Amino acid sequence: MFEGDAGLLADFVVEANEGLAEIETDLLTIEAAGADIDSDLVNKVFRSIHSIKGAAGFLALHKTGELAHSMENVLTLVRNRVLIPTSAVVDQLLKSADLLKRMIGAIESSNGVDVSDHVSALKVIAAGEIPAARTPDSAQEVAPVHSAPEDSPDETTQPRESLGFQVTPEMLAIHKAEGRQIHRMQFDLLRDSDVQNIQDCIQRLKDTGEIIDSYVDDSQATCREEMACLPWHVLHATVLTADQICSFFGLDSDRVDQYDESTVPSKEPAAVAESVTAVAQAPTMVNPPANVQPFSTASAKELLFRIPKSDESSPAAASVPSSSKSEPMSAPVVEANIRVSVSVLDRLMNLAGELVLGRNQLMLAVGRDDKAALESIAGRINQVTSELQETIMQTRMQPIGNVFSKFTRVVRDLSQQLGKECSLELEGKEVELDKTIIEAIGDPLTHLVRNSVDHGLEKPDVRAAKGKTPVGTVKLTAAHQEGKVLLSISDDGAGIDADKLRKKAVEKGLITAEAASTMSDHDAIRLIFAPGFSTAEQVTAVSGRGVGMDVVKTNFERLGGTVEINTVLGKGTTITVRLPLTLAIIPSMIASCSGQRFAIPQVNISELVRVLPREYEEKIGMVNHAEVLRLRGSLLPLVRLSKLADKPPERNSMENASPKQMNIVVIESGRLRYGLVVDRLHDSEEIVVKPLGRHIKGIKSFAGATVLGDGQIALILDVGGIAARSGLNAGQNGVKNRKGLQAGDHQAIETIRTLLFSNHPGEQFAVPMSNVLRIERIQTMQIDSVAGRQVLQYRGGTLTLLNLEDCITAYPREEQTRLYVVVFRHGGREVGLVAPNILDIRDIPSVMDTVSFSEPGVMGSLILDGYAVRILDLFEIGNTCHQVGYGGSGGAIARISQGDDREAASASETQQPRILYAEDSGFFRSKVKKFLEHEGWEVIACNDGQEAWQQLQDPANRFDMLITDIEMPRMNGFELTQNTRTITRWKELPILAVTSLASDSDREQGYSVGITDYLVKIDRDQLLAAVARYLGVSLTSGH
Amino acid sequence: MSTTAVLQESPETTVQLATFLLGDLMLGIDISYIREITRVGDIAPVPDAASSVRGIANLRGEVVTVLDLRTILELEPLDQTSQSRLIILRYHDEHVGLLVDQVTDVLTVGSDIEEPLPANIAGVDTRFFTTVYKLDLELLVLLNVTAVLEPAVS
Repeated sequence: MFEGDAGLLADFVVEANEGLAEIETDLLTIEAAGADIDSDLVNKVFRSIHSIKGAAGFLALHKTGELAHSMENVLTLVRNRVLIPTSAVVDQLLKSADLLKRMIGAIESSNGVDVSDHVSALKVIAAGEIPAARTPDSAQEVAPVHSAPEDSPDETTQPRESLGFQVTPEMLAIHKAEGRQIHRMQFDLLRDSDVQNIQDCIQRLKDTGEIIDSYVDDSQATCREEMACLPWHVLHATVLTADQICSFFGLDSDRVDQYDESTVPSKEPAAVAESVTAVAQAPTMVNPPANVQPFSTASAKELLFRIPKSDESSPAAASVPSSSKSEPMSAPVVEANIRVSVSVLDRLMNLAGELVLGRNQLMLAVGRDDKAALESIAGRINQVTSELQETIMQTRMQPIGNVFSKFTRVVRDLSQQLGKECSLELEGKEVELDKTIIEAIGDPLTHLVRNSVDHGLEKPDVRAAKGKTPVGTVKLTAAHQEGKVLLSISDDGAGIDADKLRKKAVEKGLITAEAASTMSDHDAIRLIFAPGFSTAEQVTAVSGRGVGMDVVKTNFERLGGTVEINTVLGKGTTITVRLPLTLAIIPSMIASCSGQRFAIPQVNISELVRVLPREYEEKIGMVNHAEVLRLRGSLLPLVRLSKLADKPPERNSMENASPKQMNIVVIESGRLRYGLVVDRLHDSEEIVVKPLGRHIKGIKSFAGATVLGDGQIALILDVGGIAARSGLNAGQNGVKNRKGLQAGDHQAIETIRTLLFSNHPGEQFAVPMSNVLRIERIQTMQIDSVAGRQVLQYRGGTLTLLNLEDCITAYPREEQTRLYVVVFRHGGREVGLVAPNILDIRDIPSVMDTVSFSEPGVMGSLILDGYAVRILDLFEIGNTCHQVGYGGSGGAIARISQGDDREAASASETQQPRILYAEDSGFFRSKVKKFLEHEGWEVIACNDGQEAWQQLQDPANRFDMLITDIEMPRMNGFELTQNTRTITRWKELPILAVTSLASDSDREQGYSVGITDYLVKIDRDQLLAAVARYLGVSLTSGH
Repeated sequence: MSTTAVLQESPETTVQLATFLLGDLMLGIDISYIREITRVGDIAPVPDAASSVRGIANLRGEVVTVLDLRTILELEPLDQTSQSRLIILRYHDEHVGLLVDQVTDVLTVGSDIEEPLPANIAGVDTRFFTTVYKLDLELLVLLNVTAVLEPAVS
């Protein structure tokens, strides 16, 4: 080991790993290209290996250098088109790259690794013994017509023992062809002041040219100090002359000399190089020496036959590369590193500077007690801090391609092993995720990919019999969606048979036969996630690795993700994983109990329920001595946080006689669903997760801790741990009821989730939840009246408030001290609708009466529990805020002038966008058509998919977009999309699905048939924005 | 706090100890273990934790586990006073706060004033101690930091 520079070693490891990271993919691409060699790609791989070799030689990592050198030899031949990269060749290169990776992973012990198997196997390949090099399609046929020179093994394993450069003439030839001179340079590592900073020296060598090879000659290092020298020989290719090099590096002229073929020792001591040298020297015999450019494949083949035979006895069989699975390796000693771009680092530095500046100003202002200055400084620090946080988060983000790339290999090896044919498609490699998540998803994803190949895809003959292409496809995609990352693994294989799963689950005693028969297919398929469930008919060596899908699911859930599965029998399976972008900062609800605050991650919360004392009777019950909440027809087990918090259990008074209301956080995490009773609910906060010390790490109820805004600490609840502590087991009745209910709803009728409220006790209204940003509880006295408008001081700004009675025909609200405000987005701003009393959240059918209460702002009405409920159109309600704000006539003028602009704008366009719209509900059809046309777009509305399909089949029709409902008679949206995509000219047509039915699995199905995007039916702003985005135009109505 | 050199001329190995009180008991910790000594701020109790865990505290953004030394040494529990301090110790790769009654001084002591460990000091098991130093007026007991901080096996 070269002494004294651990930093250099660490750098080497980082650089080598970087070089190796993509090598696998590249090699596979090279293999796929076969004889059609992409020289750029080969060069890239060659360079990675070459620099590893060079650095390893310098750092005295003999074995690493030796292996890299052998690989380089083979790659040289590929690069020069002498050797065709058949799968046998690439196989060995891959295996060697694996070993190289492992060695670099445990660099300290790498010199103890036996690489001789690999080296000799590579040597055999380099010598042209793999017959596939000549007949690429018949790797099995062994045709050892000419075998290569075989050196004695002891020589091959220790190439560095003897001194000299490891260099092949064609490497020199390449440099020469590019007009470089080759110099042999000799530095003294002990004496030359110039090489005291070795890294600097290497850099300078790289700046002036390229280091072809180098070695340290420690044979002359003697104990006698005055004699001691440690020569470092460098073979350097450069455009500079020897004199220039001398003066540049401060070397005497005798330490630099020209290096050429004549100086190549007739007996090259580096034994491994010899066979290659033999091959490579051959061209000089056939071609004139001046013409040593890349050889044609034809002559290359010829050359292989000219290889001088020196050892006929070496059988080809000996070249079968033995696997090297169990090299003894110690744990890696090099610390984990992360690469951060200099620009990000600069920005961080800058921000840190700003922060220091802010602090200085703060100290000054505090000293002077200057209130005004304090405020501005606080604002500044606030801003700098957020930017700092953002930038630091950025350094942790890594592209998911790092994980994806390894699957090319996994799929290749696996399909070979199983005798299947499979192509892997990767999409969205550039999507970035937090480093910790990237690291954690590798294993579960691998499992899913292996599953797809092993269980999903059929064998080629089976596929052919089914009329599928023999080559199966596994597709891995990543995309951003709603602030999360969506991963999907889909295959076009056999799909999952729900009946088989039912049978299996009954056999394993997971469910009863009755439960199985009543279970929907969707639920049955989810059984695959049940613990102890293995789907394979027999456990194969490939997938039977003791990991079930339940573990995969748990792994993703631990990261705050969810897993969905969707399958069509005979067509394929898609598994969708949703992951948060980062783990470090999570939005949480702060709740308190017995005076102590706790944070509950928002992903685990499905809703908040308040039970008033008078409702106890009706809503709270006891089942098996456990409290339950009756919530919309299902029973929800309750857990009291106070019990957990070790506080005196005032259970009796709390349960029976307490006048207090009950705050319940409804927790949902995977199959787990329960209500957590807390004393008080506070705000929601973005919290930074801090790990707990080892004294308390073992407590399952807590996932960590966080420092709240006021500097106090709150523990973060682990909802799974709390359930376990309270003796709840997942999949209790509550969950099943609910799931069953939901599935039923889906099949029966499209529903809209709405928020029910009353303005006046006699009238009930509903707003679609999809429009609601959040709900705030305020005091009436907080409302200010500014210029005839009602506003609320809110989060550092003002929020315009709308009273329902000002917007539509309604009774005015009654005076009360506290009321709720429904906040929604309108035209890019937030607007609040006063909703004095909130009643419930309900799923209502989307079929409604659109006639009875027809007026702007009202979508329709229906009868719910004996009350007439009017469903509000928040978009139109929001429109009225202009009139309310500026007075009726002014608003009208503003709108008219907008209209003029629009006409001018659309007139200037040569062709209006033409949108085809399929929707069976007359109500939605006219509505959506109206506001699309409002934007100046031409809309062709159809009653169902069939009608739209007819339009699309007419070659005379031009459409720029298709907007479709999903649930339609005759032909549904999925079928319509599928059909549309079969026509070539509609392959790229943006297809938006506008639906209220958008569960994950629906979305998944939609994407798989070719839907471009999903939109919620009644969200007008979102729809317009999306349409404009996909049409590539801007909105005219001033959003 | 002044550094008192108890035995300046001693050629023997010396250590610097931060000394503190737990009731009448004078204890010391090798200062190389100590990151800092702070006033006791808010401590959030941790339900289900071992009895020796007082809770967790915020040390400039780092969440630090606070241990009650009285509970660990099985002494009578005592309420916090204005004299109470947290001694923040480095422990493996994290920091742990040790709640003590009062911090007194930093002393340099030499091996020449070492006394043999008695079986029990003020009713406390001596597995928590490593050495006893005899000062002019009293005994200074060196705390075995590892034994104190090792999470109790429950």
